[in-house]
Amino acid sequence: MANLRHITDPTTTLGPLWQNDSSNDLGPRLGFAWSPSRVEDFFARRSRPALPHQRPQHVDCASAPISPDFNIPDNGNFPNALTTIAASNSAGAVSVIQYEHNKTPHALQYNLSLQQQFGSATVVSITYAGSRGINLLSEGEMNGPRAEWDGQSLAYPLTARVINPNFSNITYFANNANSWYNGLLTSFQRRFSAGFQTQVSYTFSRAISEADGGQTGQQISAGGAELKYPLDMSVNNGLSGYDFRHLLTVNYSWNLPLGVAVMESPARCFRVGK
Amino acid sequence: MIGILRMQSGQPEWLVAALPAALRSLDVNNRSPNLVPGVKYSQIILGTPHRYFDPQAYSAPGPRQLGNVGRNTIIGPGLATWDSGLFKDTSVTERVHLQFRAEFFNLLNRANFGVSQANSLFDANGGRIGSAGVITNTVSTSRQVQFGLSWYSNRADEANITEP
Repeated sequence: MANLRHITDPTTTLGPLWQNDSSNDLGPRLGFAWSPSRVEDFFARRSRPALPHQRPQHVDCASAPISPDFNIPDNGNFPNALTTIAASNSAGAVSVIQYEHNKTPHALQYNLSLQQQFGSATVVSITYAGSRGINLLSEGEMNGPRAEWDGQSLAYPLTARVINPNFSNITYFANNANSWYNGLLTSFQRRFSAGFQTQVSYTFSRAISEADGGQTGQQISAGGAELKYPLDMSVNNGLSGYDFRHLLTVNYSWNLPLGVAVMESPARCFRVGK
Repeated sequence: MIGILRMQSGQPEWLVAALPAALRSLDVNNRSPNLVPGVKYSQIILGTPHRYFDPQAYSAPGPRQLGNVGRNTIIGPGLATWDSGLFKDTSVTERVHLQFRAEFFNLLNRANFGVSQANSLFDANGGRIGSAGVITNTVSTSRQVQFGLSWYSNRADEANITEP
């Protein structure tokens, strides 16, 4: 597989095929559930699994445009590829993956849940849930020079030039992004008399990331995100496109006292509807 | 009668500005506007689909600037839906039943607007883009009502189940 070994290399280097090192894809889990002996109907659960993600598929897909020869513009010789390459006088763009010291993206997920039952009809639970993404994929244009703070914004000096003049664009895929999620989940569930039951759930959370999509979470793509300034990841730190600060969900079921009462649960209703 | 009410905050959105040729030649892929000094977030959000945020709160970045507005600083419109259903069971025989269903989706017919697709505030020359902040899509359906009639029979194993 051809790839740039260093940002200033004049051309790509042909190396071995990309190997998916699955030996690091471990997913240990640790958790416990605790019910205090003197407090009935109270449960505490906690877990902290480490779940490495498998190496993403798009890394393999990215190997297709690694060689710059496949990125040169048509110079009138299409569809003769060899003639097109021979007539090209520009290396054009190149896509590069983090060839050495590539780390497997992984996530740490942890939660602590407290659940208390009041009587026979009410259950309240409070849960903290967190997730930490490490070595996540990012996509950035790495041939850009270093920008300087001009008192208002990062800006490129007039003397700035691309790092590697052999290429117009160097799109770099690296496992260097991070994400943070912290959420507080609360739930209240109660069965009332006369067949009325309800559950109210509220989640307060914050999701922060350095890369997730082009502009919003809706535009998440297999290729990751284009970083605004890949030379300093703190510039790209901000709310994730998946950040929904407040979420309130209420569901209810009520057997109306009309005609002959039929005891039905919502699950039964949906099953019948299939 | 069953129902589900869902209310949630809006999705973050990233404001951008087009790249001039000088930055494109430096392999810069995207940049953002500059925030006008002194402007507060509450002043930026106008909240209407015609102009969800105020583009005047931002200025065009200089020809070699990346812009000082960070990622996803605008929170889009929130979402609220209420789906409900009414079911009426009628026994035809001991094991055969008819169920009439009336289901309502987005019962209040609330327009749930998406994030503004017009998130680019300035063109490559620094000129303002007139459509910036305009929302042109919704993320949920309008009110939908559907009626149904289903027939079902108890299976033999369910017929033996008794309520405690």
